[in-house]
Amino acid sequence: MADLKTTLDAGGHCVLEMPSGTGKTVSLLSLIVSYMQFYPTKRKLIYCSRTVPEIEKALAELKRLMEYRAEMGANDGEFRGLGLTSRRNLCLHPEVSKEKKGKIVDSRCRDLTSAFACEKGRANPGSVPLCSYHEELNNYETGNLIPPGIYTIDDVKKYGKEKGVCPYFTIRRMLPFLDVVIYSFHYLLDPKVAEQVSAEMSKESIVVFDEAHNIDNVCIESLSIDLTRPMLDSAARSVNKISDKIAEIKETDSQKLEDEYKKLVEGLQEANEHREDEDMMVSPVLSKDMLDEAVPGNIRKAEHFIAFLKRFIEYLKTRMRVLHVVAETPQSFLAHLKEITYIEKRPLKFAAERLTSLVRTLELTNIDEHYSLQKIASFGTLVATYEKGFLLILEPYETDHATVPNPVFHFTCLDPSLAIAPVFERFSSVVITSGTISPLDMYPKILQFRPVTEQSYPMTLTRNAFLPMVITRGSDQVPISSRFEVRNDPAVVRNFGSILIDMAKTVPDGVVAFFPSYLYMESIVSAWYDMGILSEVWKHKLLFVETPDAMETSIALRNYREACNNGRGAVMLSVARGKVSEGIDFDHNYGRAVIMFGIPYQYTESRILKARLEFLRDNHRIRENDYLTFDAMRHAAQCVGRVLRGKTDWGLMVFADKRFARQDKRAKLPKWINAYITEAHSNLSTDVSIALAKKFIRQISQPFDHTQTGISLWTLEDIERRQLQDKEDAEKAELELKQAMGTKNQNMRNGGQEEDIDMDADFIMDDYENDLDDADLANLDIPDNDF
Amino acid sequence: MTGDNQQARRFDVDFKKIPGTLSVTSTHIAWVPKEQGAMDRQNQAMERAINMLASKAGSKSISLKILFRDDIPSGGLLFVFSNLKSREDDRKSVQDILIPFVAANKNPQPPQAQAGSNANGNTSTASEPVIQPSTSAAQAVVSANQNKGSKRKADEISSSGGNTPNNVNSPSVTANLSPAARAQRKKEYKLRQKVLEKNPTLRMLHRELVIGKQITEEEFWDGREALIQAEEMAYAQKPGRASRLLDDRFDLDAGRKGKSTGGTGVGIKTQENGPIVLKLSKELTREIFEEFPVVQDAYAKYVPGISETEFWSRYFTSQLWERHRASVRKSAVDESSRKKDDIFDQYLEEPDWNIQPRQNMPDDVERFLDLAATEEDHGESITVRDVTMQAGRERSALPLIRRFNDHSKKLLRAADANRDRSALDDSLYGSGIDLYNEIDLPDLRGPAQDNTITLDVQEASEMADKQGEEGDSGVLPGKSEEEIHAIATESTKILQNFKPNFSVICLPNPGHHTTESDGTTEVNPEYQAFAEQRDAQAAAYHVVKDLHVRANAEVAINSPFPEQLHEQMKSCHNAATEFLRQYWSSILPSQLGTLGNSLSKQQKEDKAIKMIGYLKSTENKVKAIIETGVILGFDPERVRKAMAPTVSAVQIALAREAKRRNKA
Repeated sequence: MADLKTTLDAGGHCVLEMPSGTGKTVSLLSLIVSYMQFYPTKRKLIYCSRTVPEIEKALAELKRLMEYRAEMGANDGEFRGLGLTSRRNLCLHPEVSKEKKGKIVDSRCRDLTSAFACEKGRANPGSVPLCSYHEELNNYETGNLIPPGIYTIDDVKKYGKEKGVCPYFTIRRMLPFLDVVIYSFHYLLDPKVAEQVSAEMSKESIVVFDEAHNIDNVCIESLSIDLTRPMLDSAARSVNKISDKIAEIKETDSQKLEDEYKKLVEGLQEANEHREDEDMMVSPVLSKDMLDEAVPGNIRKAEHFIAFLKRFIEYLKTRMRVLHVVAETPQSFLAHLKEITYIEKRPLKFAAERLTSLVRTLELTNIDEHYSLQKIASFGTLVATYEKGFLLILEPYETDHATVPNPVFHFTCLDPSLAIAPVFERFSSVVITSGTISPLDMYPKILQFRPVTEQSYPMTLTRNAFLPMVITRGSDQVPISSRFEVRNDPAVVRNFGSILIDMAKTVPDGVVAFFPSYLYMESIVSAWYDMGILSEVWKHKLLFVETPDAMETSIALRNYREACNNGRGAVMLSVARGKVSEGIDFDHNYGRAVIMFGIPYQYTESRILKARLEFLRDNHRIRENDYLTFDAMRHAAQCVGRVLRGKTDWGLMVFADKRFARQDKRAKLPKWINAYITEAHSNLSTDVSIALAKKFIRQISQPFDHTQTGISLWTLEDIERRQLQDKEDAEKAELELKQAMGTKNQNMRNGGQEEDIDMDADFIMDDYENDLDDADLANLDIPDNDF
Repeated sequence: MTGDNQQARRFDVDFKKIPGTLSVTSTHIAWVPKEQGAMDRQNQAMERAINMLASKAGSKSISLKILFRDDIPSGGLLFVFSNLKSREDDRKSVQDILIPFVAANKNPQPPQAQAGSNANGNTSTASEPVIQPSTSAAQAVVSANQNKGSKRKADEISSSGGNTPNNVNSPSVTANLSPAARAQRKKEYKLRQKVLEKNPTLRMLHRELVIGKQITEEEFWDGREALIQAEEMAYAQKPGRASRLLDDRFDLDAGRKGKSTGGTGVGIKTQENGPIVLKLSKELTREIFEEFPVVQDAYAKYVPGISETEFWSRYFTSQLWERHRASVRKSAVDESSRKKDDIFDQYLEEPDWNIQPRQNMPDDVERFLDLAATEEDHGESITVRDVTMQAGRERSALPLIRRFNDHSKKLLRAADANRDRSALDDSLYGSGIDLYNEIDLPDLRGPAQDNTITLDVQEASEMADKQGEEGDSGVLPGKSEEEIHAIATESTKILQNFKPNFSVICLPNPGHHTTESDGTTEVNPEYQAFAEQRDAQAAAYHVVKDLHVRANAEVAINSPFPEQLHEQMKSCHNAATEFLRQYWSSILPSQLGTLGNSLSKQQKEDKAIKMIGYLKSTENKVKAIIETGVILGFDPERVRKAMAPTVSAVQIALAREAKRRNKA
């Protein structure tokens, strides 16, 4: 908290690592809320989390915190906190809410609520279907759509149901008046969304990225676009449809197009007024100055623009016909484009904006049909805007073995700092925190910012609540590993299976197992089934597996939890980096053991990854190997950390791969986990580890006095005592300093402290440097063209 | 005792109703009739005695039956102690002498197999040597117990006591019992037997005490109701549905041959070049119906038309089955070899291998598990993940995975079905989940109210006052603070100024004597001092060495107890503990809410007296064991020491009893 306050005071950014399940969220919230309430300037808090469950949890924490503050007599009168999520999750409309796909919900909602629809509907009731929930909102006073207080997403929905107002627009319109906003990363990082949602946030806002270990990938993803052949075809169809529509309108209402043309001459800014409802139709680039520029003349006319788009799509199609891999920079792409089609860079830059404007003018409905076209327009805009940090890769075949071409044109962002830079620029204090963001210095490097504080907090435990074990060999002493060469070796598969069986036998309630990739999980699950391993598992526990469908997986998860609760016990098989690994907690009896089968390296043959690694090496001097290991370990730690929540919780952590035994891998795990891996437990065979696990479980199940007062829970007196002591120490130190240096340097103390921190960071870095070795490469996940 | 052992001890004993003398030596046991020639002498080596059975305490005649190895003489020898004054003590001393031998000779033969039939109606019913822990045996024991002079009373109690399990067992009542009560009793015996089977130590104790007729079956179980109850609960649990998947490729029952449950491996078996053998049990068909509802559907539609056998054989050779059990992966290979089946082929459908599940999923998962919400929230991903991370690429694995999830869900539901039907509702979780519960970290709560019980001492306040008055607390009671302080400072001073004078402590050898200039030798006075010191040093050295040796001797590992001796000690200890348990349970007021408090006060009193009777003999038993130790050449002191806690516990009980007697 003290570090956080320093940061807030200094108005800088910071990176904090706090072990999972130690009340990270609540401590952040409580400090920031008090801080906000203490200073009358009313800085806004933007709290970004990763998944909807986490957003909901954070809201619940906040709600409870405010209740507590009220109990304690704080007057937070007008304090407002809301969480924002997609229409799909909030919609109350009887028909629209039945749609499964967010895209369709968005588009249908737009049809019912967009400005022109409303105008028409109001002028002539019944002519156009409108959403009653949305209409109802107009009866409320702006800025007071919902009474002050904290509402979780479900609360807002309930409120909306009662009052008959639309929860989504309630939140959207309340955004400028809120004290705390909680939403997902994307609303701030993804330029497509961010400009719509987050544009009004004041510069003074405090931004917190919780669970931010994956933030760089989110950044990259938000600026990357992949095109496929079907998408191009669909886009071409859309273009034809639109041109028909244009022709139609020209005959009936040519005035409209004229108006639009005039507006475009004046600049995009005006054209884009009142477009609150159309956040799905937004340019993917965040650049202010572009908005003020006028749209280039050659695409101002609707027909011209349509012709322009057609040409562009045709060009892309021809590019797709190439049957070998192409990688080029945006510049060379543009040069080639110009050569062939005479499309200049500048009009291309405006493609997305122009399309939006056109769609609005034409009052198109069912926008989701034109989804592909939008993507292509965004693609054009992105290509034309960014020159550095991007790469275009054309992959004609999905895998090296495939014979049927399925070309994918990747436009990939290599530099995560591009997406996050506006955030760092705009907001004075950005806090990045997670349970697992070791090594801390990596994030500032790849996101390119200078943090005021970097801190990793250890965990104080009254007993060893978790037992990390590294299993390197099966009971038959065959080394186990998910390395590509051996991962499908029957011996390895069997040994992985026997770990699962033994764990299922030994551990009570829930066991979670993570695989490095979907592909591997799917193949190993069938292999296990054929080997009869799963039948063994079934004798002890029920078995659930993550599936590609999110809803299906949610149902499986719920059944899993039920099985854990009723004592039947269950095993959940899922994938690191997958849906389950992000945002689902397996606390207490839901996860007494977590098994990490193999190291979750990324697919190293991926050209995108290779390009990214190259970029990192060239620009940040991060070695490929370092980054890969770092990336794999943060995901491993993330998976494994899912089982711990609170200090009364306990669980086993099993790392089943011989490569985990290596110091350089382990060193990249967060300190709070690494500290508990003893040398003796870092190189076990299955049978030994099972014996250890049994012992551990027997020990941990003993009744234990969970009173933590005095150890990790401090009463007020404890804190005061500590503060007193700290103060005394500080005074003493100062005194000594004065004695030693004379009185001339009063400020040394502050400097000294900062130095300390810096030294910490250096120290960590040194660690990594020392532990590297060249044999690493051999151990990496490099498949030999088998895919 | 050692001396005793050499000479024979004689007792007045009847054998087959002929008075005689029983003499027991360290090697033999012999009986000589008093009337010359009236009967054959009996003489048996001690080594052959393998078991002895005593009549009930308090029964009319005091008898002891000794069984010998190989059942020769057949049925053992039954001696009835005839000396009216000392017969009980006589028997006890004979028993004590015999215990070590019997224990040593007992071999792990089926001990009671032959004995049960040997009831020799020679004396009273009480001496029936019933051994098997079977129901009849237990009944007999009980009957014997209750027949001992107070039969009527026992009857009264049991008839008035109605259903209390303790009284149900009297055989005189048995006839009047309703079949239900009889069944209940039978069940209870079964349970007891099961408990005994599970606990070998308990079984040993049971054999010794109950079958040795020292205490009754009921007494033995009194206070052990928890065990029986646990067993009953375990027994009453019904096995649920087996959690296996149906597949004939794995013979899951391979491990437990002989069980008749239909395993998945039993469903269909293709023998080497032989015909296909189908083994279907009712359970298996039910399982198949549950797992694959389509089969049930087909069954309902077609079975009256075609025979059941045909139905199943067609099913198991159909493509449908192939797909059911193995998903698509295998069947794709030999599709051509499969013959068409008009019944089942219409049920074939495209495997469920698309990313979207075919089955419609309910929409309302609680927010904390809602992965779809997150996916939507993040907006449509516009990038393609790399090959390995694309879920569902391996299409053939998907139906399998779906089947796993489905199967697990069904199992879960099956387990839940009996409990609460309403809980099955999928939409139950939609709302009403406790938000705070999800974010609560229990360890951040303050310590809960401690649930200690304040000791309710009478006149507690007075005690406290007294303590204050006495003021006997502190380091040195009775000294004022100044005094203590003074002592402290003085000691510190001494310590601070402490300067050892090593020249005094270790004297140099000044030489024995000095030769003076005049030639006379004079003993050096310093030498005297030196010599003294040297001697003292030597003495001290010896003392220390001695201490060291002794200390080490204590640590030294003793040789283990011989097996037999150890066994005896264990059994003696176990018996004593059991007696003590019985004793205390009959003396102490029973706790509220415990099971089996049905004994009346009088019964308890009787029991206590009986137990004390047994406890009194414990010391002799210990002596006997020590005796055995001597025979085996083992340090008797160690035996004594080992048994000391037992003995002292017994003594406490005895002292307590004596006090109680006096009070009464």
